[in-house]
Amino acid sequence: MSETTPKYWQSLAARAGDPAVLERSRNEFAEELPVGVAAQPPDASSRRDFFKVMGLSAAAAMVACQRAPVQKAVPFLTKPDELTPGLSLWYASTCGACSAQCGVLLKTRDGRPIKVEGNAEHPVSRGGVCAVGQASVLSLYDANRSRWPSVGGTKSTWASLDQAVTEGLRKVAEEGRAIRLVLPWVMGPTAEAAVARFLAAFPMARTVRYDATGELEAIAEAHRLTHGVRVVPDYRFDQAKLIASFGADFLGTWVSPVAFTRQYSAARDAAGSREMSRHWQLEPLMTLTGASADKRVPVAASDLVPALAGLVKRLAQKAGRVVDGLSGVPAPRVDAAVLDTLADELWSAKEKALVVCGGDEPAAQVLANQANELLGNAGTTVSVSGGITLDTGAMTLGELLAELEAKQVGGVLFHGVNPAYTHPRGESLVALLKDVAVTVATSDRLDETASLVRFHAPDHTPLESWGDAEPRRGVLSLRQPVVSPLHETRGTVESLLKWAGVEQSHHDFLRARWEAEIFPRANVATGFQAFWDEAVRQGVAVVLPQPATTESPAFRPESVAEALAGTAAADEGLELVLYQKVGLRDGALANNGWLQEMPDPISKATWGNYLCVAPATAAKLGISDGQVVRVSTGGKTLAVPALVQPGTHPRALGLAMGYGRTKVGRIGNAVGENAFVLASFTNGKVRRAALGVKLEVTPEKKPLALSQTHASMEGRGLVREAELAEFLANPRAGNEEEGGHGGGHPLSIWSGHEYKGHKWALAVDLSACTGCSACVVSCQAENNIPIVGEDEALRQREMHWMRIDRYYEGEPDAPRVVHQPMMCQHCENAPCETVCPVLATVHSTEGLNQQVYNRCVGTRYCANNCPTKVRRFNWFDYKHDEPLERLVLNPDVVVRTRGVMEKCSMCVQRIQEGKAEAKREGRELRGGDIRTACQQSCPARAIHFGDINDPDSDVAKLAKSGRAYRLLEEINIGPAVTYLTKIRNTGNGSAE
Amino acid sequence: MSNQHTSTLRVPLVSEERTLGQLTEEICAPMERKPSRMWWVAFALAVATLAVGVGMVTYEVSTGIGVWGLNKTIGWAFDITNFVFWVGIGHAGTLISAILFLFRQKWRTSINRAAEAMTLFAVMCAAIFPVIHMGRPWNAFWVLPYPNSRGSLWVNFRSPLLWDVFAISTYFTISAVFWYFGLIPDLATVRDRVKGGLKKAVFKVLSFGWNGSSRTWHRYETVYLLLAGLATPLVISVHTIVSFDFATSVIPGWHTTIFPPYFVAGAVFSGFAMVLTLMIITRVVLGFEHLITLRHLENMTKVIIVTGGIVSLAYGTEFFIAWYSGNPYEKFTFMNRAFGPYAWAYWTMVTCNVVSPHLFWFKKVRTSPAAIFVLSLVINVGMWFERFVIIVTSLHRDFLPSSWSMYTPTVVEVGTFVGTFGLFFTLFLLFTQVLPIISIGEVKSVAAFARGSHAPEHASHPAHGSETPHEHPAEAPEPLPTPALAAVAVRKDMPV
Repeated sequence: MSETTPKYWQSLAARAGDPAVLERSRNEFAEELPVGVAAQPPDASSRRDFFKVMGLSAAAAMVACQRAPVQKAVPFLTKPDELTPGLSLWYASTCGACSAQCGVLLKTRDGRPIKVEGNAEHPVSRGGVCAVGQASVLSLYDANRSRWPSVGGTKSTWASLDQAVTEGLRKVAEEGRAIRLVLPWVMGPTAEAAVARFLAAFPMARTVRYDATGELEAIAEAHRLTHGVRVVPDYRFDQAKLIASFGADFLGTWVSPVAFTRQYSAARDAAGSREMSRHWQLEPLMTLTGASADKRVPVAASDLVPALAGLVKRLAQKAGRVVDGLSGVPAPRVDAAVLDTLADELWSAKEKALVVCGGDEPAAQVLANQANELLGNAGTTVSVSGGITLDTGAMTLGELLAELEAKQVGGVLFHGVNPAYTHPRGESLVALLKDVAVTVATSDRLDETASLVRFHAPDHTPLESWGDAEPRRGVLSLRQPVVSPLHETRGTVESLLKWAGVEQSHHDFLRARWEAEIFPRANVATGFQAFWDEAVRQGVAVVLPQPATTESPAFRPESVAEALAGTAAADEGLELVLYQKVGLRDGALANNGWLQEMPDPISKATWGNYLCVAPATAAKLGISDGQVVRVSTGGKTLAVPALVQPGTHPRALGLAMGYGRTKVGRIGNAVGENAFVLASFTNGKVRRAALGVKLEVTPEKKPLALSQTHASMEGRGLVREAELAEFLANPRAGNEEEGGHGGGHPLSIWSGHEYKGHKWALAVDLSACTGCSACVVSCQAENNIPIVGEDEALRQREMHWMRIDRYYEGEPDAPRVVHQPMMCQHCENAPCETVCPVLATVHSTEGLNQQVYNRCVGTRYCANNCPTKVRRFNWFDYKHDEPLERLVLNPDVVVRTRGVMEKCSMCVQRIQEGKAEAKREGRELRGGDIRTACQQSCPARAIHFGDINDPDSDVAKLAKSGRAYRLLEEINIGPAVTYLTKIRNTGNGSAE
Repeated sequence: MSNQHTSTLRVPLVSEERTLGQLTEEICAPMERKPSRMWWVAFALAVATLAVGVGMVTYEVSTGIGVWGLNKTIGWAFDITNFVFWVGIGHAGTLISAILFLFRQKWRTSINRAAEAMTLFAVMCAAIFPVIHMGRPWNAFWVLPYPNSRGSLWVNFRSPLLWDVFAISTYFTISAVFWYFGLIPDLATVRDRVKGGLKKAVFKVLSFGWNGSSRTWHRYETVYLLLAGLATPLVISVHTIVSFDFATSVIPGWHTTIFPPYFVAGAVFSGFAMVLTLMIITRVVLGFEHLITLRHLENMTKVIIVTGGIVSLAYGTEFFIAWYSGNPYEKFTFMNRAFGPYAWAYWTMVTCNVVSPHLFWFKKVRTSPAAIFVLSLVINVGMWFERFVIIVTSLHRDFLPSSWSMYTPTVVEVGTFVGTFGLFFTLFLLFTQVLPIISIGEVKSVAAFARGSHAPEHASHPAHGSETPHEHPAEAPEPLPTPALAAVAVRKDMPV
């Protein structure tokens, strides 16, 4: 149709060229169709739309008739030789979560690490790994890590950062101003070598060593005084018959807890050796270690030095020697009989005794060294020569602060430390660092310190980088990357080398160093490549120590007097002790939800810190759990909730470090209060214990998220225990309840289950268990257990499949503590199985009580009817909403949806994996083929898993032992978990 | 025509003189007049409360059970407490209609309809909780044993929860059938009274073509008797099975063989209290004081005294057995109930359930509707607390002290519970407007008119014949009472 004149006209108006009519005539219909056009613009062609929609619907319907397109997982074009989808790869490496540097095995699936396990072949940690180590895999995927280098707070590139830093440092060096590397005490030999290269490149540079908790520093400083070397000796708790610990939480946080726990439990295996070490613990706060002690004496923090002095005096008397310098020490406010007995027992154990001391007070460490020297245990239970030598020439952070104040410093680099948060004068760094030309931090995020510096060169996490460690002299532990770096980060060793002008990758530097320095000490016949491959494979190489001498440096008798000079008597007031929690330690991993939510082994508190107050003191001051108190010391005040902690010395108040972070990330920020600010800083020395404080009780309450709120066993035979002497006389000692009321239920209306093949079972040795909670986090990592957050934890809804029950017994001021790992008991006559209306929880042919998530409708009847209350319900959709953090999920274990019940499966995925592997290899399953996550991680080897139908299995043997008992036998649930009685060696001869 | 009789033995069940027609008129009146202002206010209130409940349930289902105050130790609290509470309320209806029917307790007639309706509504309220308390309520149908394509998936016949499903659904079905069946004659009455229109059509269908013939009545009564016989065991079974939820478990405080009779007695106890609550309001609001008389109320208070006594005995027995069994866990649980952190709930329960019913021993209390009303509420509160005490105090401190915990309800839980009252009263208020809330047919059989000790003066007595007229008129035997239905049958003024 032409635009202008139509040949034939329809109307006069059209002929006249009325635009409206012409417009209308162009439409197919002169008027709108009356069908559903009301909402349409007048010019819309509804008929067309109708046909379009109809056609589309028809097409859609046709499409729907076909099979839905199958989304294929695209396989590797060229499959890496070692990678099979669905199978895990394990790499031996070294844990980097703390200075203990345990050997670990890292489980990776499809290129991503998902689990940290202990390396059983590692001579120091010997198969265990602690909660913090377990959790470090989650920190790899921490969404709050820095993803690129930054300069002045804005994103940058490594090239430009390197250029700026190098130029800046060169300029500082030319100006002759100081360059300071602020480093942790323990870094590993290769990192130290890189530091040495850096120092060589910049003569003005010096190292500053800093330890947030002060413990390593105190030990090193004491050994510098007593032996002339900064060394952390090699302690051998397995050699000790008598352990006297003065505030050292060696099973929880002190130096190398995993290794010590392994040694400790080995020396306390009454059933195996019929011998057992005795453990004395004198401490102000109830620690994990104190909880395991045979004799625990609460002692105020300020009395530790006097008590040690008293002990040294007594030991010296027995040795017929005189120790100078003790006269100035005030008399300890400790029962003299306690020290007399302890001295007697130590003296009779002689070289088989070990005195250790915790805290940040070098004087106390010196006295402990003196005590060890008097006992003559060098080489048996403690070895100075076998320890790790620390940087002898390092400055302290106090000295650095002084330098900064004097504006003598041109460049500062922070690596592995966060003094802005952990130092009591941390906030002064804000102003002090402004005047420094080059400030660099290598932390993995823009934390409190890194946000003050100009150059942020984020380090890899230990899982992404090479590295090595020497946790005991001659034991070289290798770290290898198990995933290519997730972000644009770079290993600090490489950064240091680069800034020092050495163009060498971390790997090349490490390998070259191993080839040059370690391989010659290895004493192997093969070439370096084979040695290297084997070291990488094993994660550890044992070589000749360097220097080769095993002779301990001589003890300097005058050191005691030097160390004790100026020791004054403390007053009788309340004393604050800053302590480390087993989960959070110094707070470096505060953004780790697993650690935040891990119940403290003693207080059972999750999320946040609190002031531990002795029951007597709490009663006197009118403090109850959750009462907010204001703690003031040195002009600083913190308002924190109180927790009445049995076993605390009446004058002691405990506050955990590691909380109250401000720049760690969305999980850890503002959880608890920063206790570091209360530490005192005088004469360049930080003191974190025995701080005189003023306490003000407020009427406010802040509820504490406790996972266990009742501490008494109520006289129920849940944890059974016996005294060593009794046990040796009667293996069933303390376990008489079995076979009493509950023994043997011949009558049942049901025929029992039959197990023709395997019957899986667990045995838990309560004597070995220290309560360290490594298993709890291991279970969480293995089984994709969500964290629920503080609010939900306050409602007691934490999801842990396994928990550790902690009970107190006796006087609240000096209670005896027991721990009981509690997981699904996989009952023979499981109360949960009968009550589920939809058969969502059923018994397997191998004795497992299985939960079928996709069948569960969530009545929670099973949980109600569970006598041990181990079932956990998904109250909400616990979202794994951070895509990066989702990578940590174990693909072998289903992520549960909301509204379903879940619980311990006895790691059924591992059972299936083990069975499949055995089948593939065409052999029977062997004991040890399958290890549950909790069992694997346990440093104390308290958990045993196996087939109870196999009479040779550990579990079958343990289940028959005199110590074996099962929970709640009187209700005939028939648990598959056997507990073994706790054996104590208090020497009292009778268990209460 | 005077039907007024005075009996020396029995107080009449209908306390005022009424003709049959008047009864029909009166009972049908609420359905035929416009709802009163008070009804509208009550209805608006009920619907608003129901809306709160709907909102709470919607929030809960869309967000997760976590919006309730439950935790890892206490998996049930308000939800199952309310469930058992409502099921218990629902007990009285069937007891009144079936068991009292079988025992020929004629006084039931004026309250059975409303009590049965109450049963149905209460069971509906109860049934909400097992569904919404599920973590995944959209899968609630999995508890039904239906053939499915999920492999060999089937339900667990060992689970008391499954028994509950059967018990409650059977109970609801039988109660509904029984109730509906009893309604048929009255539906026909309504049908016949309605002039026309939709209402007529509806009632025509609902009344199943009832024609009031004696054959129909005969069949009706036979079936009614049979249904009563069928419903009777259900009165016992429902709460027995509900009690199995607890009794078959291993938790101290739940694992008790006394639970079945204890729960049934408690259910009757609370059910009668609820019937009283409702009837006392209804009779005043609808002006049925002469039909639902003080005597009815009094009778029900007597049932409450008895069942209250059984409940008290059960409480005592539990404690005795807890001590006598020597079971330390059970002993602890009961001491904890009475003296633990939830002692307030326990003592509320004892005060309401053990102490308060004894006030009914006083005739003054027993015959004062206001006093009965207050006490019935008290008992309902007490019975709610009984279930709360059983569920929460047993769960919160069971075998392992490590998992001991405390429970505090959230707004959502309270709102849901309140919302079920909204549902209950909404339904009940609708019921009062659309159906005869008193059984017209049955109440006539107990009206003074039907008590028939006096026959009309000139009625013929075939037995006497005409052989001995006027012989010893003073000693003539009393004329036999005319059967009520016979009298009804000759009446033309009212359809029966």
